[in-house]
Amino acid sequence: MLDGEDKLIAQAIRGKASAFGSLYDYYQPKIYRFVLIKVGRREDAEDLTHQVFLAALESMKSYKDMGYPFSSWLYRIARNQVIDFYRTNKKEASIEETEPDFFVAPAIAHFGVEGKMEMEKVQLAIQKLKPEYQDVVIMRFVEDLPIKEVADSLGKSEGAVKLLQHRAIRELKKILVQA
Amino acid sequence: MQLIVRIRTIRCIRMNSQISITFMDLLKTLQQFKNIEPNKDFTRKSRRELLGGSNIPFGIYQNILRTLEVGASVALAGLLILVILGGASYIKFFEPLQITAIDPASIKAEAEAIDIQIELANLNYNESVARSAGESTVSVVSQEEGVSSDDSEFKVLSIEEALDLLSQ
Repeated sequence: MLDGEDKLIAQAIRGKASAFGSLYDYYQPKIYRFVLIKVGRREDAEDLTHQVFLAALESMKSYKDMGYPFSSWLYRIARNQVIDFYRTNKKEASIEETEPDFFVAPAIAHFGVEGKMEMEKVQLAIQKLKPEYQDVVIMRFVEDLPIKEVADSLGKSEGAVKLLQHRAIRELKKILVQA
Repeated sequence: MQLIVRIRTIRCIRMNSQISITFMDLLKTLQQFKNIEPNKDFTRKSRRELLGGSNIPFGIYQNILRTLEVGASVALAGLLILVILGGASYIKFFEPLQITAIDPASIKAEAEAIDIQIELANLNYNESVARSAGESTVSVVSQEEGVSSDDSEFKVLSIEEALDLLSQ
C-alpha cells in the first residue's frame, strides 16, 4: 500500500490531478504486469492498462471507501477490461501467430535466452488457466498480495482464495508437464 | 530467422517440460515476472493523456468545490493580512513610550524637580547629622567638666543649654 494513500485518494476524488498521478505512478506497473501476463501481447497490455486508468479516473468521483484496498478496485477494473477485450477480440493470441518479442516486455531481456523461454513457457501456461485461476496466480505469486487483498479484489472469501490458489498451482503444473 | 527462433523456442519448451516441475521452481519463475516494467515512453504518454488537465472529467459539483476552495483560500489570506496589520497598529497604540508625545520642556522640568528633591533630602540629612554632632560635642564637654569637678554623673543638655554653657 502506498504511503498516505487515503489522503491521495481523497484528493483524487476532489479532482486533484497530482494525487491521481501519484496513485497512477505506484499502481500502473502492477496493473500492467497483471494485464500483460493475461493477454500476452505488449501492445494490448499497454492499451488495456491505459483503459483501466482512464476508467478509474472517470469513476474516481463515485469511488467510495468500502474498507477494501484501492488496489482491489483497480484490479477489478483491470479484470473487467480483460474480459471485455476477449469478448470483442474473439481470437486469442497463440504461440504460432504471435511474434516471440510480444510475449514479454523488453525489461526482461537481460534474463538471457533460457530465462526468457522459461518465462514465456509459464506465461503461456497461465493463459491456459481459467480467468480466476490466472488472477489468483498473478496476484498471489507475482505481486505477492496478501490473501485478504486478493479476496477483496475477486469478491471472494479468504478460504475460497486459498482453495483457488491450491487448484490454480496444481493446474498450472499439470499444463507445464503436458506441454 | 523468426521461424528458427520459434522452432527453437518450442523445442526448448518441450525439453524443459519433460523435467518434473517443483512448486519452488515455479514460484521462482513467477517471481521473475515482477521485473517486468512497462515501457517508459508508453508510461509518459499515457500519464500525459490522463492527467493533461483539460480532459479531467469531473462534474459541476467538483468545479464548484474547487472554485470555493480557491475563494476561501484568498479570503483567508486577506483576513490574515488584516489581522497582522491590525495587530501592529494595536501594539503601537498601547506602546508605553510614545516618541511623538515627548516634550523636552516637561522632561527638563521633571529633571529639575528631581534635583530639588534630592537637594532637600540632603539638607534634611545634613541638619540631622549636625544636630547629633552638636549633642555629642556637648556631652563630651560636659563630661570633661564633670571629670574636672569630680562629678561622675552625665548630664544631657540641649543645644541652647550647650551654647549658653559654652558662652559662659
